[in-house]
Amino acid sequence: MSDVTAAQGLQLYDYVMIVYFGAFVLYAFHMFWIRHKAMGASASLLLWLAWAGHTVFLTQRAIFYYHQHQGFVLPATNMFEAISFFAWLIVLMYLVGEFVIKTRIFGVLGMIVPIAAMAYTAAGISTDPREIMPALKSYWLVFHIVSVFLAYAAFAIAFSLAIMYLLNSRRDQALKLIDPRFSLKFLDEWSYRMVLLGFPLLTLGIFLGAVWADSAWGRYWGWDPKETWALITWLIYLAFIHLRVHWRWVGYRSALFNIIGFASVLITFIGVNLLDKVFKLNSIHAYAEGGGTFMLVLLGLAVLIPTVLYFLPAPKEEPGLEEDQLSEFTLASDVATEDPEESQA
Amino acid sequence: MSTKQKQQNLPEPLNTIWSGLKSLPVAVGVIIVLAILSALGTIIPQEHLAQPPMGLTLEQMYIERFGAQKYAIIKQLGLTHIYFTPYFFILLVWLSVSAVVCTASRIKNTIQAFQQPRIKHSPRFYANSKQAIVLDNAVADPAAKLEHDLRERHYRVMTAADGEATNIYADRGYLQRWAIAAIHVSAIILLAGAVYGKIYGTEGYIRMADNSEQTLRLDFMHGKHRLVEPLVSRLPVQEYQLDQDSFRIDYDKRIELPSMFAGIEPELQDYYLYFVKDYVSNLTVSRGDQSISGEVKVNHPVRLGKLNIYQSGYQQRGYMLIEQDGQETEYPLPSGLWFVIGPNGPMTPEQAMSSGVMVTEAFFAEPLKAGMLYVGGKPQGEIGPLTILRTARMEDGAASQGRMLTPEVTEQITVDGRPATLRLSSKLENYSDFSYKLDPGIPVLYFGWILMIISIALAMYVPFSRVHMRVEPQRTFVLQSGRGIESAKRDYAHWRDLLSH
Repeated sequence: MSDVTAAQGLQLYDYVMIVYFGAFVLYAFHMFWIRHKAMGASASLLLWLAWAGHTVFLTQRAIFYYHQHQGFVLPATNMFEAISFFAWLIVLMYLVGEFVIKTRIFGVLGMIVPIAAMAYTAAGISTDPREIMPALKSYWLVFHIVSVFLAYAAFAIAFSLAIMYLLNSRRDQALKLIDPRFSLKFLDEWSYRMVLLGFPLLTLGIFLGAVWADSAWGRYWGWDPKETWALITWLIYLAFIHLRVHWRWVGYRSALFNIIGFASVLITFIGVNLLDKVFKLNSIHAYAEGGGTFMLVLLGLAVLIPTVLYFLPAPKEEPGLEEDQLSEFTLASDVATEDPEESQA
Repeated sequence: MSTKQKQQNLPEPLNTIWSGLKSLPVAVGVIIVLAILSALGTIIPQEHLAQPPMGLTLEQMYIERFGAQKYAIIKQLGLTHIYFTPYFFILLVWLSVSAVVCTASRIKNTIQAFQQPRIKHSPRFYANSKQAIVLDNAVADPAAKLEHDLRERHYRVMTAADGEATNIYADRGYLQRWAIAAIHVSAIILLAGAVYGKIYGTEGYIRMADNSEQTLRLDFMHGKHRLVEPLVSRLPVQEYQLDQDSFRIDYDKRIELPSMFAGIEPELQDYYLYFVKDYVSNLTVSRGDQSISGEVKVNHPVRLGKLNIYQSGYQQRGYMLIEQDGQETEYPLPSGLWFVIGPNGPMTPEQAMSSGVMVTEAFFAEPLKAGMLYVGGKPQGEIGPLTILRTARMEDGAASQGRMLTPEVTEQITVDGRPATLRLSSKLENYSDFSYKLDPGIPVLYFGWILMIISIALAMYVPFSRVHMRVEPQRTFVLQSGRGIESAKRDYAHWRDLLSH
């Protein structure tokens, strides 16, 4: 038992980060310059390799915790582990997407948030395993974290697609090299699909968190900053879905809203700890340390960029974003009708 | 009477409110305002979470942070307890009622469209839609063929003859429509559960010493808003007898020392290896002829009737013994803050300075650790009481390296200019903190929440699709709606193939 240490996995984690970065670079080559199948396959292979290594690292941590606490502990007990686990889930979600959609063209997009997350873990936050306080020893917690993190992972991918949408929609010269299969319609639709995946998971996650809080502290909702920001995130995506469904906020405005939504996710996930430090709020979630200038700048940009973009003239969107052509069919509207009676359903 | 007629019969102010409740832009506006107010509550410390620094009241803390003038405005606006203000509550109620009103105003049409969908449509109906197409019929009895195909694909199909033409109506996935209605209804169920629980429930905290008894009185009037007082004034006070047989704190030992403690003196490192694994009360709760006994620990509350009792915290108080001139005196050991020892025991340095006590050393004791020790899940005897005592000598101003203090270790100190010895007493006082709650709204609230989750999943993942067809002898008009253009294109291509051979 004594030979199980948490520190021993950290070297593996460093290698995993390097391999992830290698996969990211290969995906970038595949997207911008070398669209040969072999390049995409190499990127994919490298990503699977990194993800497998990451899985081994997380398993090692779980084994360490098992020896320490004689029970399963999800290796997401501190900010380092939580971010690492979050990145692992995003990559998993991307890999599943790659397998289902059978394309490697949006590998770079799928990797934006994991790479940023891993860079954040490398920026000096504590890698020490934490002792598990009694309140955290609950099976509800595992379901709560997995559900919420899956939702965040879906929102992260939606965010990456939205960023690409904004860049592409402005027809930036630098982006001319991008694989043309990244149509605006594709980006917009998949970004929305990822929100539709994340929203029920977030609702479930908030509920599971409430059940857990009720069993641990005797209250299902305490207006703690973390809980409140989870609710704010939920409200933002709720507004987003309503605006999209009822007012057809698709394309450019949808992408901007998506970025604001993900900024809220980041505040819920990491920024709350920063708020707690700055404003001395006494959050009961303060055990999840983290936050700092880097995060403050990132969050500021995540809110500032879409706001600035909103006030800039909107780009001319791709024709047919809302109404695709049915050119291969004879449209009923083109057929002259002699029946004058009925006009409305 | 239709909803529209009802609305027209309402007096003007109510009419405006009704229109507002039905309006999606207003609902989205309310969502955004709620989000902004919620965010504001995470920037301004809220009263229910705030812990003022030692020696300051809550009000003083706010004044120190914002200044008296700003604080007066903030307080007036209710921003220090934003989530409990009437306007926040009104917004929540508005949103929930609006969700129900929107559903109610549409549900009649939805039911009608489900029970008696309009089957017959003229070619003009199709011509008016940008998404309707026309297919050529190259097969015998195309209507029967299309009807059969739709049924095979699990559509609900209805047909109606119109001269030589056959009209077909088909739909699939109506569950999605009911789910959307259920999401909106669940919002008000959720809120109703929360409000019902707040009105007819009660909660609080109780601290019990080891091996003690207490009577818990549940007064439903306590802490209630004056508007709801009449609702609960007739509820009788409930009394529960709590008997704590024992309370223990279990410690675990870390497998490895975290790197943040790497610089700690080796002889002190053991202290940092121990951490609280659990704290457990053996509690008997009784009321009348009902009684329940059991272990209460975090995540394992005990329940009697509708009352839940949770293990929410603990306090472990240790004592120190000061021996001077052959006389030993016991004092409570302050932990987690700097203190000095005067002739009458420990005091803060500020107290000592103001009372003119001669101080040569100040002390800082880490939190006491004492209880059952488990290693690898197995009991390994007991630890403690133990602490780490750091001493700062006034003449050099620097803190000493610190010593592990146990009842067996003595520390030479000076009290009032004369030598004395300090050691830890083996006396311990353990207090168990419980929170209790009686919330009759929880089942309603959880029902609303579960309904919402299931409904959201169904609304998003059960595809709703509606097909209108008018099969004429030579051509067929087709309109598929509900699942987007891509799906329509795939289906149109399928039916084109079906009718071509």
